[in-house]
Amino acid sequence: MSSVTNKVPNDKRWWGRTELPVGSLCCWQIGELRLFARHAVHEWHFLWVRDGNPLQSEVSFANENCEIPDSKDLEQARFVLSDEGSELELGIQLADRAMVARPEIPVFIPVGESAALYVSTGIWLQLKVDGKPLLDIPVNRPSDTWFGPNTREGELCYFSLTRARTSHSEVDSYPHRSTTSVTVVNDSAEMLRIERLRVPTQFLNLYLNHKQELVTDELTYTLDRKGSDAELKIVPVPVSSDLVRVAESRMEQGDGLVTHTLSRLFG
Amino acid sequence: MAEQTEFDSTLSGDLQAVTDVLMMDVAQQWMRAIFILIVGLMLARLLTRALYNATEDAMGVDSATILRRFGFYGLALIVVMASLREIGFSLSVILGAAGILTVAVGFASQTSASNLISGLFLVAEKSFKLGDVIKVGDITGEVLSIDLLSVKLRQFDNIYVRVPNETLIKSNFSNLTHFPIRRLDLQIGVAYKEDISEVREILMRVAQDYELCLDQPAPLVIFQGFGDSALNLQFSIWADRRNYLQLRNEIPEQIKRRFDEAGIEIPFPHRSFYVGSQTAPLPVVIQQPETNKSRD
Repeated sequence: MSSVTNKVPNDKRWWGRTELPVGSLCCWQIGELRLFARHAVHEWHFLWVRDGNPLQSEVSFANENCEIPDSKDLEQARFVLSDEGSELELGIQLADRAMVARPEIPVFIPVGESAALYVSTGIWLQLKVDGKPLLDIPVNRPSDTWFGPNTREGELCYFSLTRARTSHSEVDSYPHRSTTSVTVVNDSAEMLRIERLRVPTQFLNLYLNHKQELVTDELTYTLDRKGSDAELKIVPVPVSSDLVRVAESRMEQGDGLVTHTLSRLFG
Repeated sequence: MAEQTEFDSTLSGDLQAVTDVLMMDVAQQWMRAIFILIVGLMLARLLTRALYNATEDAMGVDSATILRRFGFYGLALIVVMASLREIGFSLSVILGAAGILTVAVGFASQTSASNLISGLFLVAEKSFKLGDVIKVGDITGEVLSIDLLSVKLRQFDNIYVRVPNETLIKSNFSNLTHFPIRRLDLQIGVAYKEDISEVREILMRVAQDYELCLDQPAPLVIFQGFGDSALNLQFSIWADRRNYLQLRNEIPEQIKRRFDEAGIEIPFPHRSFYVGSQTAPLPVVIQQPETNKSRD
């Protein structure tokens, strides 16, 4: 797989297509995840275990000397296909539910101010054979969390602890994480305290920027004068030679403009 | 005499003809009645099915099903009455008989009537729907159907249970799947020598590291009291209701492992015998095992 070997200079794309003939095995190490793909007659067998270092910044791929660990945490899935195609595609995608990011230290935005916060979220892997989607798993399985005004109404989300940096360059860069820029505009008459921030990842596109980092569409939250509602706008990033779209959003958001009560956005 | 015989013969022939005509009329009436019955019931079924389809989205499956059944029974009653009228039954007689019958049946089937009315209230109240898991007394199961007289449940050991609607109206029942998230309360006892704040910290870390445990609502450790043998704590954690069973099975295992790693003792019940200063100490005799006993 030329596109996934980690030694290609200036190209950190570790995902892409590869040919895996019948009887062969390949493997990836992505963050803490070790993923194995085995191609048998009319069958694809995927195995994965999360036993590595989550902060590992290198992604590796090998199609020989892959040793499947004998671990009780090993998960696996078999797929039976009638076609004998051998093209395996490893794709990347954002989370299938919204991500709730909690700043380690609560953030305050004074009246009339706006702030851009950068939130890092984990990515999902999608395995396809001859274009048929087979497996969709996260590199790191985030914790669940509930986001809503009470335990009756709300939404099940993933949880992520964030430092909520105010500069993109300060965000720790990992090949298996993406960064979302969230601009919060406080047009209300009161100080805004952000304890938790909802990032609707299922509606965002994923891009690769010129620094070979994964970034998403940008978000803008504008708090209204009353301070009770906030308008969420998804701002698509203009695709240029420096920015390539690598995955389309899982779901369509319409015009990208949604109004929510404040509690549904900031926790 | 011959004239008399001829007259009798003619009369007999006429009677035969009249009887034949009457029989034919009766046969035709019966055929019409059967036709009305069959076509009427088919129409009633089609109409109520259309009614169900039209109301399913707006009212929900349960209410639409009840409406469909009531609609069908009402139309079927009209069809049966029209059919009976066709074969000569007087409607007023039927209604009179129905009135008397209703009183008689009413006395005889008070329980069924109560269940029927309870069923209507249950459906209107929308306390649960098909597929929900409810707990009634000692019975916990998935709701298979909500009928006029009873609610059918499937227990998790795959036993079919019929609960009369009246029971559900009269008693408390819990719907375990009404809200999207659920809280698990674990009662934990630790030895008196343990530091409660350390135990609390370990428990919170277990919740934080377990991905099925919700970050918010936040996990809670509540001190319940000084027990006979242990410091009693309640560990409350939240989960998506679909993951509740898995959480309930796996979290105690993780707590036990973390406690073992940290040397936190989960004590078994024990008793201390205290002999006050006014009494003599309890005599204690240590016996050696009889290993060197000589043999005869």
